Amino acid sequence: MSQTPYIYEDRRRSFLSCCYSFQEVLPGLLAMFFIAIFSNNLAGVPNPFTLENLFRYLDAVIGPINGQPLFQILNSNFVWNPFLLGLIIGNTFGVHDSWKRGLSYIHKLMPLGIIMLAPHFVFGHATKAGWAMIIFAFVIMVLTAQFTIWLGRRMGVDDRHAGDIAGALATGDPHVTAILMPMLKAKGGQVINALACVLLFGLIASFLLPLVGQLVGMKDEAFGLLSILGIGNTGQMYNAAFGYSYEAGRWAHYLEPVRHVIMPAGFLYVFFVLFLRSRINPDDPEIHATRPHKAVPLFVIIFIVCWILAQFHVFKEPAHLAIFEMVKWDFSLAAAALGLSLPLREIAQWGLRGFAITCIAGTARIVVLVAAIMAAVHFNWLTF
Amino acid sequence: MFFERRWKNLLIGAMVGASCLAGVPASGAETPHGLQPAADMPYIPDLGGLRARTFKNQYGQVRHLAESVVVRQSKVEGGKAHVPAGGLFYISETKEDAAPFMRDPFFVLGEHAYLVDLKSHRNTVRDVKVAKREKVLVDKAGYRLWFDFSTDHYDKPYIQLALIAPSGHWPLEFTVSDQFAHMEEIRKLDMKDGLNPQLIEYYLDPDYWYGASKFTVKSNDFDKATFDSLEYPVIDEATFSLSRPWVLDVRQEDFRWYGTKRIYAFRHPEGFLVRVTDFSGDKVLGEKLIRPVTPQGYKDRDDAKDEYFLSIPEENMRVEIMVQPEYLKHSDFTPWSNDVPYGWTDGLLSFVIYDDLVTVRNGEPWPLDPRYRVGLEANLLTGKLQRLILENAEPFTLDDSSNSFDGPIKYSEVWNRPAFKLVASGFDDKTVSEYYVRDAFFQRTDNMVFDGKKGRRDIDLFVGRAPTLIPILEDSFLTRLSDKTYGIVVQGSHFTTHPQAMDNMAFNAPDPTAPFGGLLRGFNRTNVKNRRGDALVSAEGLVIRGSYVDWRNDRIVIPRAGLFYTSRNGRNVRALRGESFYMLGRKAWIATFQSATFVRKDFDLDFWKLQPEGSLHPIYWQDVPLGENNKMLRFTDRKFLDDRAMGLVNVVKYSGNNFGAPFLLAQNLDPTDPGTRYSVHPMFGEGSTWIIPEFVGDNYMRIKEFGTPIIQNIQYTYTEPKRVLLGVGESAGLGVGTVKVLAFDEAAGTVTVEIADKDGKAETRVLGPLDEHARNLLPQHQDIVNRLQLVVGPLNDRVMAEMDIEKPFEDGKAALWTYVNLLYLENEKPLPTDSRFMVRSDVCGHCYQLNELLFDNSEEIVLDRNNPRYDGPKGADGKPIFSIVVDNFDGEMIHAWHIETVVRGRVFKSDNLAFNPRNNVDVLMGVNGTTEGFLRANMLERSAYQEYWRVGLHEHAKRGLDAWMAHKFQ
Repeated sequence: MSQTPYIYEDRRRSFLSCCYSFQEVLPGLLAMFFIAIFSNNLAGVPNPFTLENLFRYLDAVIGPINGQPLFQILNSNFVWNPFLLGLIIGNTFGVHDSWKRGLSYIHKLMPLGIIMLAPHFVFGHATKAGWAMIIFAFVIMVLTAQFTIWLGRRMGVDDRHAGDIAGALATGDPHVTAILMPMLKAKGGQVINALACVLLFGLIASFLLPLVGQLVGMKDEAFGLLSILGIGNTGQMYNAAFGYSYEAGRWAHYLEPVRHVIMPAGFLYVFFVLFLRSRINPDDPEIHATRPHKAVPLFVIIFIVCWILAQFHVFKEPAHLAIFEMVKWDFSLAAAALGLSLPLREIAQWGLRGFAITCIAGTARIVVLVAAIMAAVHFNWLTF
Repeated sequence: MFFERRWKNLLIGAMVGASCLAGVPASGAETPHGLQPAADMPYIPDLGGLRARTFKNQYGQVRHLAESVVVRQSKVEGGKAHVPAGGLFYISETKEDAAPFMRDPFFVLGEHAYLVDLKSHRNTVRDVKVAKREKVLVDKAGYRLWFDFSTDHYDKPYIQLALIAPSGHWPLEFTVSDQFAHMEEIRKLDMKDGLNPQLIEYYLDPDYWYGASKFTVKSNDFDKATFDSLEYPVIDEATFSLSRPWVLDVRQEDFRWYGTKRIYAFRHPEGFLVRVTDFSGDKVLGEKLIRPVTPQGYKDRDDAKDEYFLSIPEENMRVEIMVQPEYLKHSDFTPWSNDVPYGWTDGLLSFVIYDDLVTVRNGEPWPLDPRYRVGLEANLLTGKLQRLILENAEPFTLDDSSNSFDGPIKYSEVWNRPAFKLVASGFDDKTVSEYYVRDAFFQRTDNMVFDGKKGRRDIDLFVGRAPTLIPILEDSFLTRLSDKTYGIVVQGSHFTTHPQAMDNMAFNAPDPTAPFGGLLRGFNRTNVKNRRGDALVSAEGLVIRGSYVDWRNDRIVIPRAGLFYTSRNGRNVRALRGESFYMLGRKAWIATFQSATFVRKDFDLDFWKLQPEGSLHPIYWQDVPLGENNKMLRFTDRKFLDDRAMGLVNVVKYSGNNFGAPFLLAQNLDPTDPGTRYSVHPMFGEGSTWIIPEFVGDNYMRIKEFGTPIIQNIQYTYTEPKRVLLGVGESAGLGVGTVKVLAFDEAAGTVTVEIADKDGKAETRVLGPLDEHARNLLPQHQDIVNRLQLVVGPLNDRVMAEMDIEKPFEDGKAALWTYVNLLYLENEKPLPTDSRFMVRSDVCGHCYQLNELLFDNSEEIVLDRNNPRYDGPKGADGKPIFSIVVDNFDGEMIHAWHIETVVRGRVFKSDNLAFNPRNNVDVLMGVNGTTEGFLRANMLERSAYQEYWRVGLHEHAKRGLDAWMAHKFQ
């Protein structure tokens, strides 16, 4: 009989005693820390030698594309950078066993980061665009999510993978794959595979969309809306919009908060659809998403509460900015851990079907959007 | 909304640009020196290899440094871009100056260098002739004298000019004339504290003393001038150290190691005998008796500086001894600073050894690259180095086969290479479709052809943040900032924990990031002509200042005096000339006015210390009021010229704008004194505003007497005045009554006039005499003006007859101008048509005439969910001239608001003025001198943000000392 319960009881001081000891997690935490501070310009660390600065430098060497930095179009940001660095280090040099306990803190950091994101989504920021625009964006988002989940099922894609893609594609933010990771209990490989699918599709779409706009003769402001709802990912949608015209770029800037503030509704929608599905079908072996959750996770409830509070300006803008700096720290550490603990084969093992459903769902959305926006503008359902 | 802008843009170009175009032609087209790039040149504020940073010198004095690359006077022709010699230049600039013995930092092609030595002289150019609007070359180096404009007082001309350096920089426009009483005459005036009558004389000197420069006009009229002399500092040679200096404690009668050399210090009564030897101490490499350097400025004089350093050029070293503070506080060696004043109270004597020395000479080739010529430009005030210019010595062309031109070779720790490269491609016969600058680190700017379809006909550009951009943009900044090709530029606010709140915004400027709305229908901007046919731009505008979001109460607050309507002409509005202006949307004619001289004696003036409080809002408290809501006196800057404190004092107008350039005040800087290199008048006097200081210190002034005009009331009419010719006994209708000429005397210049009302009640007066004496004081002196006018009737329904001063008698009859329905506007009283607003007319500080009509809110304005709209001042028709409408406000951020006007039943709306979220509703709307003044104050920052706005990027975050400075002045 193992003596572990005895040892555990012996060491127990508080509920935190269930955690690994500091000595056990220190190597992993240090690895995450150093990757984080060499990836991003983080608050309180004036380190100029970061991947973020390297990308900025390369952006300046390459020159802007449609006025936008290339690495923003490629979605370089505080999640992508440490993940990339972690992935390279982990797959090149391997990860020592002593790091692994520390890296497991990703499971704490991810939910914490999600909670801290709540003040980022203030609904009032979008109301300047008008309710019609918000409802329009919301409907498109839900339809995209639902269609992608359905398509994933039809094409036999793991529901966690499909859910990740659905969330990211619907909200237009590839990082929703990371947000959905603890919610859906998705595997790291699925998350990164989904992120790559959405990024790649967005990249292609951001260069093709202006051609579509010109083909159908869209007005600048309508194209601004199309690029936001049809691509979403910030750098890529600005690339498309400014590639079309300065006016379209300006409108994309103006309307971007509409997509942004309804984002939580998008990933919560995916979570609840899949959560309910797993509760309704408890014995279905094909359903993996959210399965380990016995109830709605506490961090999701806290996030929702904080999100509601944010709507009442409980978190003022300076506080929001400060919290967002902490979000950057949190996700930088978590993404570093994810990168370190993810062999490339785990990303590859989920194959190309994810990319196929991304392309089909994304293209279908663009087709619907073009028709809907043209009609809405024609019949004055949407005013700019 | 956005797609309607291009035609508006054309309108702005036509209206605003028209006034600028006249300034473009210049003589001496053979050289681009002193000329600016094309008015529509692209401005890119940031390129990694061109640095813009703030440092401190060894005495803790702040030095703002910046580098730029400029192309000017280029053109594309025959599929090639032609750049003349001097058309492409690199500029390294300090906003202040750099002097020897101060360890003043300076950028040299991206390298952090220190200025260690200067050789300079004062250049004198004689008999310079210049015509209005001309930029005439005055020397071979390329300095130009620019005659910007002329105006008059008592019909005599005074003129405004600037001396432009070859780079295009000029510090200020100076005013001179040979036709008026000299300012020293002011001392003879006997004025009492408070209100005094209008001055008879107009005071202006024929020479302008500006520290190390002096400009003396021999003769001038309205269109041309001849200068007896132009004196300005020229720098012949500058030596920079490209490395941080070595600092070693001095040990007397002993030596310190410096690499393989020994440096001995032997104490003597007058300093140290410093000896530099080789490793063994046997071979003396250099030896000199030198005195320790302390911060007194006179030590860098040519006849004094030799005592303070040992230079050994063959060893590439220069040795000084200075008092080194214990922890190098205030230097850029350590990031912190405290408020130890200029100079050190204690410290150790240390050797300061500069190496990596580079000496450059004005007008000679750059040592590493003879394709470039060196230009060293002095600060015209201090005579110290302000700009290092490296310009192409020969013309060059770019075309598709040879599409790049290397910048000057830079010194580098790694390898000496071109500091930048100018690249252009995609030529057709007359246009180019792409050009950009790539720096020494291979980073590039965006393509500077913003409209790819049209291309550009030149490759002019300005990249970087050198302050020379500001004078370069003087002719074009209004057109550029009101360019709505990309909509109204709206910079997002910086949200802070506590709002920046002021109870009363009088004399304060709006938020520097307040959107500038440019022209909007409903705010008139048009040319009006007076009886002489002089065309003057008359324009209305709106300014909101000091507004804030009170998020605790879910409301937006505009404090008292926070919202004002402004109406202003191109110059002051004069009586007896039939001059008109806009009054709340309607054209009005001025009839008469009442002004006085306000004098304040024996008061203290503190240096204006702008400091942030805990929430980082700038706070200040040292303004001295000059009359009730008339003007403020503000001591804004100080310098030491040969160790004499010199203060720069601004007279601040009610609107928050400055009255002209700052006044220089100093004592004992008389050019006849051989002990000083500088000339600054011991008093200031221009027109009718003067300051006589009793004491000028670096932190405090005692003012003996200050005087400036103040306007009390005006009378105006919306009905155009009519000219009538009346013989003796003849009469004409005047409102409901009549005007009759009873007698006149052409020789004496008098007309006896009778004005009778409808009841036959008459008032008689002899107008005139309009003789030589009167003409010498016209049209500005109100006593003479009043003598030529007869005003009768009840207040706000008066009529008036005045003599025609241009042609008083014609065909044996007297010529009179008649006015009806005169309205009375008194300063500091509620606006008659809308008591929510107060009248705060601004007077011309030169001439007592009406300068600006300004109506502001007397009570706080609150905008919230229940009151999202506020109507501006109402005119005679009872309708507001504009309305403020808040469209979307979430209690913390303003997401959408606009200004609305109604013209002939049509509603005109501005763009969303919170396109990026704002925490205030500060705004500049309309284009007149007042909005222009606020724009000019932060032209560089606005121009830079315009570029971020164009491509939708965020402004770079400031770091270190720059971030702190930005906090202080935001």
